Amino acid sequence: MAVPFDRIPDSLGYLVLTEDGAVVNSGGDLENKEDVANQFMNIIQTALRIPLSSSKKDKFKKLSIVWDNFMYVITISAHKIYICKRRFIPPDAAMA
Amino acid sequence: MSTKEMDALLRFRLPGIAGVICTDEHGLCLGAKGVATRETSGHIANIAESAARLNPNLPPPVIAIESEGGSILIKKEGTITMGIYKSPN
Repeated sequence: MAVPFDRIPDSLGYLVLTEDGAVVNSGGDLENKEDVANQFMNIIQTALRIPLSSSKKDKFKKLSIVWDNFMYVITISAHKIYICKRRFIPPDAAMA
Repeated sequence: MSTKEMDALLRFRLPGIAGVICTDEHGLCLGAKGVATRETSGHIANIAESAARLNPNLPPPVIAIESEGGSILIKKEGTITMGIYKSPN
């Protein structure tokens, strides 16, 4: 099933993984990047262990890793992990 | 950041800040205030280090872990990693 990552604004690349880290689909800057996928899996598994609230069932909905000009946005849905590399444009400071 | 400064951060009651945690590069908890617990210091340090290794030529990134129950912002600066817990809007 093709995931329409080209509809995500400023998308630079994507990875779709199974829950155990196998690459299902990839494209753009992240095409065939299995080693990067393994690094993401480590981050995701650690993030799943951090309690975000008193409820133990509260797992993260979105994980963002943001540099100056680009970011990775990660989410989990229907037993698949979706990673999108996107351009990051910092919001302008309020103009007087 | 000293524990005094972490106390001040919470005392100012900046809107939405529920906790603060500070760790060193080994995961040792240097201070935890509010909803942040010492037990998570290792995970926070690990995430910061792993994210920085994605692009070792760039400065360490900001990591945001978001859920319905709140979010955590994590940033590594030198040997210190900070985590800020934000309550949901």
